[in-house]
Amino acid sequence: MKTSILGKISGYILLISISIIIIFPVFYTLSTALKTNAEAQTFPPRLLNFSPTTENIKYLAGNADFYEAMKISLLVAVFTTLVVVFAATPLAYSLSRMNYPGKKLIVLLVTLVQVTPAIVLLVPLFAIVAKFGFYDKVITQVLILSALILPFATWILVAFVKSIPFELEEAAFVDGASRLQVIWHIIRPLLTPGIMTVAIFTLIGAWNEFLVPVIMSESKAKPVTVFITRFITEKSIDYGLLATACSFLFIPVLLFTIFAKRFIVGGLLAGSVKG
Amino acid sequence: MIKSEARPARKYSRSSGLAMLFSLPGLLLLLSVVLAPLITGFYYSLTNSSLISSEPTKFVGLRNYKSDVFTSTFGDALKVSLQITFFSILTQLLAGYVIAKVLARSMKGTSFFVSVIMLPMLLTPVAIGMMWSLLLNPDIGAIKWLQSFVGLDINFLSSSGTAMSAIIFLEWWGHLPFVVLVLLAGILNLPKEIIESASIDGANWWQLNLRIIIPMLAPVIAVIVIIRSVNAFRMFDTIFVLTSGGPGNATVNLPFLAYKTAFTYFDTSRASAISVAIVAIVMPVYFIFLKMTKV
Repeated sequence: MKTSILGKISGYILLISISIIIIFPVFYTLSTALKTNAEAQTFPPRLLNFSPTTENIKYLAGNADFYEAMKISLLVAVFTTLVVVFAATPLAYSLSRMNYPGKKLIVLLVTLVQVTPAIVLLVPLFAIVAKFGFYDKVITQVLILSALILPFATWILVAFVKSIPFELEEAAFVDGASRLQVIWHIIRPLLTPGIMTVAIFTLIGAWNEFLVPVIMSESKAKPVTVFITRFITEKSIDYGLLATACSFLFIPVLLFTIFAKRFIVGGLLAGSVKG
Repeated sequence: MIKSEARPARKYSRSSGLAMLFSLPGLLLLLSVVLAPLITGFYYSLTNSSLISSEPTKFVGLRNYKSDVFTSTFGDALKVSLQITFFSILTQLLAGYVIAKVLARSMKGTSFFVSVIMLPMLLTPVAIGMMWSLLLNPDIGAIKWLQSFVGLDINFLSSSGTAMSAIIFLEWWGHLPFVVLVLLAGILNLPKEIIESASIDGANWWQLNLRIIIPMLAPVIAVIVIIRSVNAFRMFDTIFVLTSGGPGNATVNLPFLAYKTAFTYFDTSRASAISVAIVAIVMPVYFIFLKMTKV
């Protein structure tokens, strides 16, 4: 069906208005990051007519606590991604292509994580973690987050494995290839886009995570998401600094999204429509 | 395709050792981070365990389940959770459908708009919540300024109804991309012949959408509703930074109630009882998920 001129105009009006609703808080964050605290607190707010300053950026870049928090965020994100990819990929293959004792239990647990609010697990986990001396450690966050992200990652990869025709593997088996050879030479290359998708989602998800670190960290393993909430509990809030810290969280994700868009859209659909 | 996975029994037995090895890292994570805490949590819910008391832990039966948490706050928190879930999904489906229909026309610039609409899903929820708390500041926030153009001056976070609408709006904002993208994929996969022949037969816009397109999208909408319910039900970050459950307990949902009980009042046993109750509440959805799972 051809879209009429009127239809096109109303379509663009809709898309532009929704884009404004979406971009406004992001734009506000990035612009406030370039304001002094005094200018950030003027009313009515100066959205465009302000004099930009890099004062906040310089302050945070030179702040040892913030630097430490950024380092923790990055460590947690990278290691969680590694653990999830190395656990979910073979798990997804075994779930979609093999039969073995314990498979049912895995499906039951994986699905349980998907439907249960994480806090249900975190209340008893806190007691366990504290008892065994794992409180306020990066490794604790990495393992907990990995388990929480594992189900999503596994179902995406199961959808990708299932999209590979079994005949491909069968033909190789007939030719005398072993299971491991088939996995390495046939499945692995075809699964690479799926693994990329999972890695990207995990990286962003772990970077953005708040609930796990707010419970599991105090000072030594405190990521930026927890660090920024400490701004607001103090008596006065420095608007400019808070917005700058938030921008430090947003900008890597924004840059990352530009080249990873294809995987993000594909992953979402694999996880919902196909799965 | 799925049927063709069946293969000679010999292959299963020879490879089941390998399969168990493949599933081992995942299984270990699930046993230690999921199964162990679930069992421990259930046990705690039957004891007087607390993070601050030095009393020896002892078995108290169902006392925690009969405590005042369940007679008052729990019901309110359940209501808040359900309201957030219902209203955010309803509005997401309405807005998402209209947006997805426009995007499906593949006009110029669609790809750019898809990128913009994707953003909320990727940006740190807790940071977004912090920025909204600045925007909603009753003295200097931009929302006060925007309202002044239409002669309004609502302090959203000061009364329970408006605080709830702010929370629901943020849940709507944060997960709209998911709904739009999945609906868009669903619309693009619809058989075009049926829609075209219906419009040739003289179906008007309402008939076309309500009688033909939306019924055909029903399975996609069902998947969206199920996945979104689970996520909206567990909303936490935004509530934590935007309202802390306030004013009063107006925006305390179930996860936040469990969090507060465990980490503000340090009452592990009651928080565990709340957690067990949450698990019981999500059980129906759990069975739906298990039914949907095909491996």
